[in-house]
Amino acid sequence: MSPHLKTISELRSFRENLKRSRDPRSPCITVCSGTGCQACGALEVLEAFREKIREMGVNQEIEIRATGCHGFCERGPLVVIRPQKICYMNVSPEDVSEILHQVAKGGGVIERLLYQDPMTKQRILYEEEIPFYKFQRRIVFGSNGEIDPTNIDDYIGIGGYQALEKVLSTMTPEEVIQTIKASGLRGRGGGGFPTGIKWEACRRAKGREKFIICNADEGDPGAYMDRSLLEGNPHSVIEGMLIGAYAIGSEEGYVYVRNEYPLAVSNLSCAIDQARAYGLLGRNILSSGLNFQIKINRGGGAFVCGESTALMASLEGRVGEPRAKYIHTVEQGLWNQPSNLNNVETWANIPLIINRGVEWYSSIGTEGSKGTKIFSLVGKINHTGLVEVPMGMTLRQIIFDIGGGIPKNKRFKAVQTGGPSGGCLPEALLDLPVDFDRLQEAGSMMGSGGMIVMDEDNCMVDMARYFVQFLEEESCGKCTPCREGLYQMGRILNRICRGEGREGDIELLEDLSLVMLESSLCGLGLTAPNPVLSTLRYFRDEYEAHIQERRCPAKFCRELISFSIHPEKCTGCGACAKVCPAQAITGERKKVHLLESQKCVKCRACFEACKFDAVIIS
Amino acid sequence: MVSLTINGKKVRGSEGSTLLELCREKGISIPTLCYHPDLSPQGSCRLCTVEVFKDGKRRMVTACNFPIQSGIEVWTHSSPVLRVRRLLIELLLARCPEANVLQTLARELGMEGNRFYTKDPKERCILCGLCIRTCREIVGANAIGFSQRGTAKKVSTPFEVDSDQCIACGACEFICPTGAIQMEMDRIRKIKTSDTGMKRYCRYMRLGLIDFMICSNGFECWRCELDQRMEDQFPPHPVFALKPAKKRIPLEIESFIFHPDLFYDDQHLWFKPMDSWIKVGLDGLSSVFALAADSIWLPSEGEHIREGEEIAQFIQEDKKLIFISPITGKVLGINRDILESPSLAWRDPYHRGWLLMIQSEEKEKIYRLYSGERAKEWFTERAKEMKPILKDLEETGASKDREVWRKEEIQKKWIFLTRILFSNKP
Repeated sequence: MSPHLKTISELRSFRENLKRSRDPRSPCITVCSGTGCQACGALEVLEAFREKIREMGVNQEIEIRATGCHGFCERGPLVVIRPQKICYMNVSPEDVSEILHQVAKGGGVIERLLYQDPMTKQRILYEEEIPFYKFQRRIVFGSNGEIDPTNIDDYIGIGGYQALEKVLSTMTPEEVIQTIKASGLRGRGGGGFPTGIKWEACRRAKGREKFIICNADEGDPGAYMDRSLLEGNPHSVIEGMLIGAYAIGSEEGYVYVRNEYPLAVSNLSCAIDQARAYGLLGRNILSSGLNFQIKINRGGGAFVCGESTALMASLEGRVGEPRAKYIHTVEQGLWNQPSNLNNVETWANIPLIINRGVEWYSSIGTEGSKGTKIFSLVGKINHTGLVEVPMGMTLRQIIFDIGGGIPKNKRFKAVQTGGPSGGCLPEALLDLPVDFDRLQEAGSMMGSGGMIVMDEDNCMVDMARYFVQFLEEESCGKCTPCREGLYQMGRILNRICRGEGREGDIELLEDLSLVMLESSLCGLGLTAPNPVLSTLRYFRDEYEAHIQERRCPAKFCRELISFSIHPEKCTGCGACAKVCPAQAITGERKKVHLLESQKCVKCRACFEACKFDAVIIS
Repeated sequence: MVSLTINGKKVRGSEGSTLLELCREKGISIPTLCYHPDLSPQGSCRLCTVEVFKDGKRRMVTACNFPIQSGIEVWTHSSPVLRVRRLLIELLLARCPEANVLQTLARELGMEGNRFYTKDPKERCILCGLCIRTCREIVGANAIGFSQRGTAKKVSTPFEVDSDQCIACGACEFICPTGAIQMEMDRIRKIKTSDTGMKRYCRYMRLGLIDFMICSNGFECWRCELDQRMEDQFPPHPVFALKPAKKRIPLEIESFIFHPDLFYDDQHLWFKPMDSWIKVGLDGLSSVFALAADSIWLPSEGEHIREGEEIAQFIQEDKKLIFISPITGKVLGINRDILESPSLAWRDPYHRGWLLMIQSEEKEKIYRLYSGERAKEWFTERAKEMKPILKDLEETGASKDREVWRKEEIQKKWIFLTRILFSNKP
């Protein structure tokens, strides 16, 4: 049953009917089926729910809904009981019948599945009261947990395509652009370019045709907000693109999405098909004269294709290599025609701005950065997941209040923001408000919103080496500074980590970094030295310790450490000997064990296994 | 004319030219490795980096592809620029220590020693890409390209197999600045280069510079008289003197796009003979109708069509524009994108806006159609007739969105336009 909506009023009345037919008070169990929760077994839980309601004969009364990502991936699979919004975590298929019985009864709570505050040991019932959610402002990401991404009715039911309605019926393209400009929205892909200005330039540019492109080639290690948005709420992106097409005057849109995101691809294609069937994509949309179609293009696994010109080259079927942007892509982009490229999150912000108005939107955030930003909080942090916070929140609030701090009571050391080409910020900068400009000043960047938290066990030189090697592998190799520079940089960092660093290596790294910063062709090369420069700026002593004293202060770099067993602390439990893959540890039960350093492969297994801190790294 | 300052001196250059072109014109020398005046700038060696100030903001740009702007202040040899150039040469010398061009540049910049690691002291290729662009943009053979990426990047043939796309013209060897490419005649001789596999077409024939010539010297070009004559007549290398591929790129005639490498018939359909099939589309003039059409009809895939039968219909309300096939064959494929969006034919007539592919034995019929200079003359004549109507549209349409206006006008003038365009149509 898919109605082909021919006019704006037909869409409006269709939505009203939907709302009327759905009782917000009727019980609904939403199971998070984002990629994170699926990995924890959400699909089995979902299957168990579906089976059980059939068994119990309550499939009319209780709705089971598979939704997109809720963000709290650490505790998946997540199940939310609506309308009360009771949040259960780490749900397994065995819990299903108990939950269903409670819901069918119309009350009761299963204590053990609730979130427990680590300090007060208190159980928290409702989703919005859990600290992880309490401090967030989930305006873009919020609907993810409410709707089934494969059902367009769910989206329309919560007010979807209302912004499109408003734009087509009451606004001119110029007014739309003025609205976006006034909202202060800046590109969420990393560059932070004002979206309205980009749109305006693209509208003004001359060309036979214009293209709208959605960049979903999210390649930063640890970042997955674009993925979750596309998986959980694809229609918000489609609606944003439709509004952009109207404002700019485009007939053709592309979503360039990583091939490694199968669920995002399938949910998005499903959404596009449904939108087309409903008459929301295609020719003469809602009788407004707007023609627009969206095609999905799957990327071939190159990080550099997230760069706009490389992405366009790849869309054209050429090798994904960037080109100089002295002539901007809004003038000559895809097939040399004016092209407007925005990131997934940017597109998802558009309907919100149109619906709720400029004043509301620009009241959120800081002077130079408006709205919210989704961050993926990963690394050494208690609450791994996706968080959406207003711009200007401090790193401390994000990491400690929302993220729940560092596991095992370790000490916070640094946070890497902005992905591989971002920078590392030390403890002293924890009170830095997070927005585009402040991060840039501190030598890092917003990037696409990755946040990797590091504790005292992380070696900063090794961290820089990891990111430089990632970029070395992902560099397209077109320009000299990026290709040759990253290769040499990787070698120097490797050498330092092995304890073979030389006098002058730090200066050489700095020389190399400065030239790469100034002369690389694209954003990848221009920002590639950031991990090195920011760690040199804030953790120079660690580099010096590696080179001058052949010592790794974090006791991490394999070539610079050795393991031994403290005879007084060892209880002879044998746990270390059991896990040692090299049989380097010997000793009788209840007697002090011995570690043979020649056999030791420095895998850290014994260190992790010992409960008495008897394994010592020196 | 654009006026700007270079190294403190006021200069003027023509709009659209690049900074490097202007500098060379004014006698300012900027080193380059990946630049060649006959090729599109790639901007990859970064040696031509210069410092540009605009409205107080400083930027480092590559001169080879930076279009000059009025009011900018350019420094071509400031100390930050020289620091960049020195380090880039140091990096490239670490890659290719034996390359003479690099050694000379290093001497000129007064450099000594190298702080970086050399992986392969025998490496010669600096990945400037001159050979690849020459093969694509001058020769038109597309026989080589970059493979791999990052530090593993290299120049190679597709799948690193000796392929018959290579016509052994030697232009890549000629252009290589470091001597990294050498012709291997033994291997070239083994590549099949003609239909029978035994005969070998002369490289000048495959370049389109002479009509027909079978090589009788086993590709030992130094023994060939014709080869000698060509080299004498077109120094320093015939390919660069004649630039065959440059004659095959689409050009704008009276603001309509014309593709010089295709065949055209009186209906303003273009034909492109491929291996065993022919690709068909609307040319830059008749595609105007696609802009106004409500829908397009195309035959279905697999259908057999005879000469004189319909191969496409453009429908707008009660009006219909019918195109007929000049050949007999089987429809191999149709462009589904154009069915969804007919205006694609106007937006991109020779590339994404194709209509259908026909498998046919009658290729020779296509060869009899308009082509080359004759096609261009014929197209220009028609374009001139069409131009006043569309020019009129552009001027009066200033208040309304240009494309929408044009579309409406075409709808109104549909019959009138068909009369101009298809006066020769049977």
